[in-house]
Amino acid sequence: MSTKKITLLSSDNELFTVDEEAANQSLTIKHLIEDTEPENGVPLPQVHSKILAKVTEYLIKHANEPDNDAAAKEELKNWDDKFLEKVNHETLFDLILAANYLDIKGLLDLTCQTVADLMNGMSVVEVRKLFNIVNDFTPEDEAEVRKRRKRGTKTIGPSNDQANQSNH
Amino acid sequence: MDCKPHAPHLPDDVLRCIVDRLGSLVCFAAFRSVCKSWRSFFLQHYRYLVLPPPPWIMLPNPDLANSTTSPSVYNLYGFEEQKLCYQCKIPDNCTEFIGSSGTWLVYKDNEGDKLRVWNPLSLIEISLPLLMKNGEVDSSIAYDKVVVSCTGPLIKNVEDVQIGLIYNKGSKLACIRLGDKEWTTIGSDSFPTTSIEHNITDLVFYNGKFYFVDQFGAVYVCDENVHVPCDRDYHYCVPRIAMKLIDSRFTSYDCVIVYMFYLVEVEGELMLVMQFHKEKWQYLDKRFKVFKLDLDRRGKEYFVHEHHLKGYSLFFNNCYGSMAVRTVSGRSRIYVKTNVPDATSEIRNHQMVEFNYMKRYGSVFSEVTKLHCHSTHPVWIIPKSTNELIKTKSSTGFLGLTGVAFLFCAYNYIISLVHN
Repeated sequence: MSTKKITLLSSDNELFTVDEEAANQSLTIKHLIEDTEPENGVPLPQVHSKILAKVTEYLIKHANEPDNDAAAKEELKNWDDKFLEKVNHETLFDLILAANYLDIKGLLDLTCQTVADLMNGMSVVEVRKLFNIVNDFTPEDEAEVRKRRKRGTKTIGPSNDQANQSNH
Repeated sequence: MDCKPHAPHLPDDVLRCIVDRLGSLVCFAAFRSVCKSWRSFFLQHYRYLVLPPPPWIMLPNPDLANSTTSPSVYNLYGFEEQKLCYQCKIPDNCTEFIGSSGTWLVYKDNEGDKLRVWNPLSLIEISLPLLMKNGEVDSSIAYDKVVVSCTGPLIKNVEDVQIGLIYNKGSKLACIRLGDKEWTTIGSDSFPTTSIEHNITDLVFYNGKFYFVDQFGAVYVCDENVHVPCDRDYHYCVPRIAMKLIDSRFTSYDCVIVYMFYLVEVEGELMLVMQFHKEKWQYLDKRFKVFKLDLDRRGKEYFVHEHHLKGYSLFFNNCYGSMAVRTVSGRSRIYVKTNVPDATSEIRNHQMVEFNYMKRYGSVFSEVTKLHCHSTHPVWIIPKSTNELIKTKSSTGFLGLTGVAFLFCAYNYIISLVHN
């Protein structure tokens, strides 16, 4: 079993050391190691230490995923739930971006699921608040959409022809 | 301090990751109403999740409809376009749908026939207490019509939601606030809860109160604050008192036989619809008159002849649903479901009739198409009124799943619909 250590370098120059096996869950890191063989740690200029600490915590826990052990799987699932329990929304989105950038499928699935669960049952206003998004629809836009909807015509956006073509 | 807007800069594949995990139609509608970039992203990749304009019809999945077990997956069709737009899985514990109201469905569950309300758009599910009779669970209940005061798919305050129920062939009325432990029966001196003779034909929730109409066309309002002259013994009076608003005595109107009365809300107005036929037992020859109820003129005259419905209406001739809906094509329409007794079988056929509305005094509708529907009793889901659409648009977003009508009925129906 490989015990080779990999050092990761955050955007604010903090170092994180993990087993190669754990680090390889991130396809981005894996490719960086294969391609560049960095000596002073893998530079991850898009990830802040605060987030990278969380990411490495996830990578270490998930390094040896159980295959057939139901109890271990259950334990890991519980750990996943706890992992994001105390995380605030801002960190959650940073984690999503990090998971996407580092290409860690498991973490991306987990964080996106958490966001989707949060959105469940929310009104538009609440969703905007959650994502910290400003409503950029003008009253005219809204009136237009309502009018179209009433008339039964297609909603704004890409034309319907595209959708028809892609069906072929 | 750092409050930069993260989400608009989420890459498309991350957004896809999130959208793929959203569970309900309400979520999708909320998502695409958030901002312009999300909207165009959604319409580019998930156009099929944008429902066509209401009303919609919900039917068992045809692949599963013929199996012996009750279907668990239902297809949602746009009524006007007659095209499949969404599939939804009904709750596992659902044994029988007994009614629909707004975007809500009411069903009996497999744990002692408890009533549950369920919303197929938001997937919210709420259990209701069992109806009691003399301190015991009333097990011999035939449900006629259920009305949920909240028509939109989301519930803000559970206590604000009221549910009204006609049961035992129009002889009983009860209501409940979500969160209450038991139902409250509704009665008044002219409408004792003990009366079996009385037949309530329709119930609506309008402007925060329940209104109902009996087989004589008398309209009642349920109001906790109503003062009824107290010169009689109100031994049957329960916390809620139903006050008789009007007594239309329409049974001999124009020498015709009134078949049924309905209450329908059309664009903020409460309408009394009278369905009649010229000869008894001639079920197919149905005509309608529509009256606006003038509730401000209490004590005097309550009717104003209404000669057009300002939109379109859907209503039906039994307690399962009266509905008014504004449909989208520029035509005025009324859909009526009639019960046609079939001499050869115990099963009643349900006939769907589409009427063209003619702007003529007296509101007579000409029959256009007949759509036949057999077997299972159709359950219609009543749309949200335009009035409420305006009130709630700020909270549900402008695309809102408002103005939504669901139609829920037997699979056979859609076949006839398509063939026509």
